[in-house]
Amino acid sequence: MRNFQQARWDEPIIMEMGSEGERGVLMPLAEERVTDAVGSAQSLIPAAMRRKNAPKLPQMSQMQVLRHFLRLSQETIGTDINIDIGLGTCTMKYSPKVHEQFVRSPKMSELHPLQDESTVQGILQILYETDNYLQEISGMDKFSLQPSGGTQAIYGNVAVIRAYHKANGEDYRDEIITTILSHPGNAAAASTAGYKVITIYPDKDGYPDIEALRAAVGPKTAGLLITNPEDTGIYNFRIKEFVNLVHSVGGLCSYDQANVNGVFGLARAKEAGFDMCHFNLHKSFSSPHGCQGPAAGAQGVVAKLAPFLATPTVEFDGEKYYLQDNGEQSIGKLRKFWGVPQVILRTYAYIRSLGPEGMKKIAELSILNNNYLLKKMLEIEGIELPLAPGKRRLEQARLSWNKLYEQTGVGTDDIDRRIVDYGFQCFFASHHPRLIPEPFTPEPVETYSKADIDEFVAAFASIADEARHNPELVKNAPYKAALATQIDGEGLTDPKRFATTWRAFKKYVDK
Amino acid sequence: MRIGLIVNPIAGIGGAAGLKGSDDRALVAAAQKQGFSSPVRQRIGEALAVLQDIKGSFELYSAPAVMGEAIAQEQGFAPRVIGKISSAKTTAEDTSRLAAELKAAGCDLILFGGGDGTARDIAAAVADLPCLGIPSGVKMHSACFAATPRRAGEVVKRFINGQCQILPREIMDIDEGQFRSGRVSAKLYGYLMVPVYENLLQGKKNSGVIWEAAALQNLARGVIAEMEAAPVGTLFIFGPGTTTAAVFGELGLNKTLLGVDVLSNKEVIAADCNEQDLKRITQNKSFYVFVTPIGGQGYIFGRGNQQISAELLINAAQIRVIAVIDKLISLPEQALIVDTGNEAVNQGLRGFCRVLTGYGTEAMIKII
Repeated sequence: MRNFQQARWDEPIIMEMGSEGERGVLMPLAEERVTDAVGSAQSLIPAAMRRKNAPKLPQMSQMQVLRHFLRLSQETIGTDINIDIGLGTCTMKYSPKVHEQFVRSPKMSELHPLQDESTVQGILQILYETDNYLQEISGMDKFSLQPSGGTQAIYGNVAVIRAYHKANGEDYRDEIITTILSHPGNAAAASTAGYKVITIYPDKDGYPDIEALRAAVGPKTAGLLITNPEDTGIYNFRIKEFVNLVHSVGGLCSYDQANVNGVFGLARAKEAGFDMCHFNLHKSFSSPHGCQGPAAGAQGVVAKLAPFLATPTVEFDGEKYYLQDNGEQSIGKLRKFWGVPQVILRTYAYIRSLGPEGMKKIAELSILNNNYLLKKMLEIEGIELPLAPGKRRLEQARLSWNKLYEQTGVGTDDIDRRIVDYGFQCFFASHHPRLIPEPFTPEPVETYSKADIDEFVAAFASIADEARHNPELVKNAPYKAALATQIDGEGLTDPKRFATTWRAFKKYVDK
Repeated sequence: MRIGLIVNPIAGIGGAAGLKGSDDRALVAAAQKQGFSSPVRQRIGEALAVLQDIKGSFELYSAPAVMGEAIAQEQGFAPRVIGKISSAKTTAEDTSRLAAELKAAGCDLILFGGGDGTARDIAAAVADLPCLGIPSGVKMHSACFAATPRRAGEVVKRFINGQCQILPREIMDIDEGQFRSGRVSAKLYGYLMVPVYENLLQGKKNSGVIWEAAALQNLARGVIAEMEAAPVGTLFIFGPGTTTAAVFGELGLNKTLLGVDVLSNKEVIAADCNEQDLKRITQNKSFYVFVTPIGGQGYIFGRGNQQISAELLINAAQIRVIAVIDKLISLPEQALIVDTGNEAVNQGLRGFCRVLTGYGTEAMIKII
């Protein structure tokens, strides 16, 4: 076991730092000849858009800024510095560093989205070919690479569902069905688009209840948004029946493949009968998550839905690549210009470097890793694997510390705070609601070695042991993290108490 | 194997009368005068009916006359009668004394019909003998009752087959006076040893759990939107509970926490109604019924809201179950239970139900 101790800098917020007049760069004044020709810099900004007062930004030198952010970086635990198996459903795999060189190359960084098509054939080719690869991986007929995140891609698919029914004169369809263990982004996107959302719960075997679906579908059904495998790693073996049921009443089916790690090369949306799917390119396709972006969600549809996709799409006429406006039927734009091409470039590099066999290997290895992890985890007294007893999981699993909690009073939130003392970042418990008590959702993707998994399990075994011998030790954790105090979680959920900007924070403090 | 039977003949009478219980003799007498009767006879009958096919495998010992003997005979049993009662007006002391006599006669299990008050009387006399309640009272906060009369019969079968664990279960009761004035304070009175088989028993009721305020407000707005979409003139009956109270709160109205209130045009037109009030108010009117399951148990009808009777439900234009998601997932097996006292109405309600969980959101939950 490591004797971990994180840096603790007690660093202030940058808005509180610096001093009057301090600068990172002293900008030279423009030469007279220049101002004579074009006027002052200020005069180039329309009068109505000019600030009356300077923004209240911290005034700091370069060295101070660098030191500040390096200190903060030492106080975080990111994917590149820890064994990031605990953050299940997020698919925290290694992001090859060579991809960053492609993205930072002037060939990419100096591109402008308003350049003439003839001068950006290279990136258009990459976008077009990525679309083709994703078609092959999913069986869908056309992709939009415009959404800048997974849930935006789901929203795009909901918008396509709405546009399709409207085109058929069936816009009275106002219900969308999802499952409680599908990503909540599905229910959220449908709600945002104005649909009623009907949620299916697991049956007694842990699979989405098909009888509930049978009772839910009807003439008002617009579509089904579903994840498979669900958050639990349980593969819904009746998925085709689900799709057929929804089709039988005229609804469309959208497959949430935000995380496709467990089915790469093994199963496709098309063969299960889906009309749509989406991929989070920052998950299974290795682009960094980026902490609130920029990310990319690729939205794929079958041929009959292609006219509804976001505009523009990238096409090829045999000689040149071009952007095509999708006209009146399109759902419009989801993101300005072309989306986030830097993420697509990393995705393209990832697919090209692995090839079809390599991508299938991702699924095989991540399933193998997960089943090895589960075998080892379940040897720890106090942890259980509820739902679908005896059934294998694919790439992730939702475990439960409920037994340990009942025996010792130490629950998943305590363990989550204690694990950072071992040099692992906080794990992911569960999406809301906690259907499984005291949940814990690890996902040991293909890039982790057996030694990594063993080290990860050993830390949890040690905490379970602490829970039995010294439960207070776990309950009062953390001790060795950058922030060795417990955070009052209510400040994060009570709208009256949280501040998302410095100005809002100041207002709150002044009150 | 000897099974003892003891029945509180006035249990549950306060339910349909909107009295919140049957402990107060004067109120019960008044209710009887108004024509309300106890559902206990039918409920004990339902439980015993399950045991018809294994009649030969046990001996039935029963308290006399209205306290068990009569119902057993109705169901075709010939019970051995234990003890005596001096009057048809039975008392709590009779229940305690007869329970002790059934024990002395060598019973292996006492099956009793009643509510929390009856459970307390029995626990006072036979703390260590396995006992199982057939739910027949108004208040059933104790964990010694089977979920329904039928299931009580099922548990007895398992008990006879030796398939049950015998576990201590809480005897809870609440002060009926306080209950009538809108406050729940369940008190733990002790334990009975109860045969347990899987989830056939009624879970201990959680009182005073505070659900996320935001989720409740969202749900309240969803309910209000449905009322706004209903045809003009529709009446809305709201069952007891903090969930339905949140709807009233969102409208700036006061709800009788443990009673049944009626809204029309976002105004309270009747508060704390009994069954007859509800029948009178809804006569020739279109009405919706909004109820929320009892937390940790799942009952939507037949517990604490007996005023909303089967007869009333038959005429409802819509029956809407409302609950926040966290409440739903706390239910045993995530199922809702109906026990209206009318098997045809129960059967009509069973199957998957769209439970309103928030504004424009529903969950498919099974009613069993």
